[in-house]
Amino acid sequence: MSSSVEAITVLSSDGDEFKITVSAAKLSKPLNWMLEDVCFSDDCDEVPTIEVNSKTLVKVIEYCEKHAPRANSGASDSDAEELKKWDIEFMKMDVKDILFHILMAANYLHMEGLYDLACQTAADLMKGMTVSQIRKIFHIKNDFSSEEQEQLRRQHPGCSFD
Amino acid sequence: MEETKRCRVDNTIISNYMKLENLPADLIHNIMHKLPYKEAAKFSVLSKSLNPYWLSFPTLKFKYNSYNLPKDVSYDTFFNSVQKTLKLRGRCLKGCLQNLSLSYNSMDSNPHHCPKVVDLLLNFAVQNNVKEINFDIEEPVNIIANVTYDSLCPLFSSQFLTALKLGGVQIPLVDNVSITCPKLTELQFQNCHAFGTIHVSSSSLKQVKVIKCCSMKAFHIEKGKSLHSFKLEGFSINDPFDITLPTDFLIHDLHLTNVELSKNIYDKVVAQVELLFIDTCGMPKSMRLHSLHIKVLEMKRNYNLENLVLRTPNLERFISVDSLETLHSTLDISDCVALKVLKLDGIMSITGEWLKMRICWLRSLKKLVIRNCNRLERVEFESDSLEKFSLHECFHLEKVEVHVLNLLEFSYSGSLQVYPMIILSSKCNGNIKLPYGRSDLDLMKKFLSSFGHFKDLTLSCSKAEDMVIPRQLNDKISPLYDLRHVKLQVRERFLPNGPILTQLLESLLWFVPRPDTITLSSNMTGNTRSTLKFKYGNPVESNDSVVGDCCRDTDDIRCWRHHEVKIEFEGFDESVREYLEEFFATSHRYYGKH
Repeated sequence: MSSSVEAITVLSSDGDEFKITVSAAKLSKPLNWMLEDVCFSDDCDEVPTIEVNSKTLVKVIEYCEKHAPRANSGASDSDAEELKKWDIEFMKMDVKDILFHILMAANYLHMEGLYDLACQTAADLMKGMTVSQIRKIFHIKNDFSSEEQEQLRRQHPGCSFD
Repeated sequence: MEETKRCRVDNTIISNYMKLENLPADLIHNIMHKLPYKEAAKFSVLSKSLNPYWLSFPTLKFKYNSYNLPKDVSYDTFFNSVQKTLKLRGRCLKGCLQNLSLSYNSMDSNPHHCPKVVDLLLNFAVQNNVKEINFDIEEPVNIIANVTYDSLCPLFSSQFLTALKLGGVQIPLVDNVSITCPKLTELQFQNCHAFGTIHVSSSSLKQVKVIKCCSMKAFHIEKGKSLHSFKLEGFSINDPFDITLPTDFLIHDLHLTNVELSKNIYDKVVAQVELLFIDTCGMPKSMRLHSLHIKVLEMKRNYNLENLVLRTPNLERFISVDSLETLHSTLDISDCVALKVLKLDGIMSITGEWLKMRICWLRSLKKLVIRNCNRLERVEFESDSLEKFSLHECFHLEKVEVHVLNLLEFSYSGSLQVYPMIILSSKCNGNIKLPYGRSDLDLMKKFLSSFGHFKDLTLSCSKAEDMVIPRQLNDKISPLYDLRHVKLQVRERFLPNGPILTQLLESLLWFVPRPDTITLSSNMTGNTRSTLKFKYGNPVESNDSVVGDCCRDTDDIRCWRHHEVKIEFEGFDESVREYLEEFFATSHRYYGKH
């Protein structure tokens, strides 16, 4: 791989161009493969497309750039602590608009850290909530008929529907 | 690159309408995994489209506790609900069961109840290629079997199992059991009365725990290269246990507690361990350990042991507490040249001569703790590497003289009769635990005078009053003229206030006449800490009458009163602060005048 390459350009699914540094791209296996392809091929005109929309890709790249130095070299405990705080701030986002997209993107890009963080964020949003509160947060439509609800109520005596 | 920009409108439209139920199953299951099981169950009732994710959730947990069940929920109700759940979930799991847990706590003495449900679960687990089993059963003692061997058996050769944790399993004793699961990493038996000898040939194994299994007498590892951790705990030091390992096998940490070690363990196994912990075990009188692997050895309460020879050149940490207790006991650490931490507690054979001989060879020694070594009269050694040195409760100690240039911390508790106490280090902090009750002034003075060159000194006593030692009027030589920082730690809930506080400060200011800081703290409340900071200004003429009362005219050294002084109070209540300000203002006429 040529050492002169410091960043690669990728396209989002809406066709916008994004730059991502080589060290940040290493956090994702598919991105890393793309990187190798770009660097090895003589025909550098083709810009790889990532099936993630622009809004999400901005966040994903932000995460990668923040975590790259630590992932590549290891860090002290105080850095880890700071990064944890950063993660919490980073994850303060709208569920429907972006959290689901981040989850999908992390899954698609094989980014273990982000995948775990996003799943944890989703779980934390549910923790201690009633069923109707969860439905509201995650925009879930209750499509059970009243008979079905009655049946479920009998199946799960411990679970409240409200 | 403008021309390569492609529009993917369709894709965007679809993805902008993303819903929880459209996420891949793995993703939804991972979110559920991060929730307590009861909360994950809510997925079943959120919506029709989410319900299947609950049914296919690869974790199953069952809990039965007859002690706090409502009266109308009987064992039968529980059993029926388990049956129903397995039927419902089994269809959707399709042989991909990740984890099956059972917590069964019952006082009912029906001998058929528990086996019925455990067998049912085990059969289900095996059919669904379970990866992790976690069973914890508690039952009345008279129950002989709470599972049948036939349903346990398939687990031991499962191709899928990675973790097997069995608690409270009882079956009529099976002498030999072979575990061959190729993917097994964790194996745990706790309070099981079931097996005599375990033979494991799972080379993937990483962790083994055998806790209080009275029937188990031996554990043979037959394959593999290494194990991360092995914990063995029995009922008493007369409980024989044997472990065998393949040659060249290595255990990272081995914990042995409350068992009688077999000859094989102390002859062979201990030499194949990096971190070895032996606590309250039946041991031979003499043990020789030859090992290049061992880095940490901790021996506690092994009362039989009298002679220990360590041929362990890579040992970095050796701790012996209440082992080697007899007068004739011997300890040979002459080969342990890599030692960094050495703690000798309750070893009767340690003498001044022994210490002097040994310490000078330990060129990497950073921390030395000596406690309850009652034959020790003199502590004399040199060490350039030592950073921490603690000397506690050695009753016959008379004299200490250590040349420790790089010592940073010295701790002491025990008699104040030790004199001289020479700690030759220029950057040392001290922690002195004073004996219970008020000590004799002269004794205390003499003892403390050894610590004048310390960077700071922490004195700890049970009550603040113990440190209120009225000086005699003609006694004008303080023991700690050079000390700048003193801390007093009391083992009381509250720091003193009122007259006791000022008496205490007077007393401290007599011991430490020219401090930069005095800190008072309570080690019961942890964070309560009050500090006085002395800021000195110009010297005050010595022919002043107030000055003449406190220090000897012939000396050049002067106490805090011989300067203009400002005192900052940190961590005091407002009322206490005012009280103290008044106290200092009346006892020092140049107070607050910088």
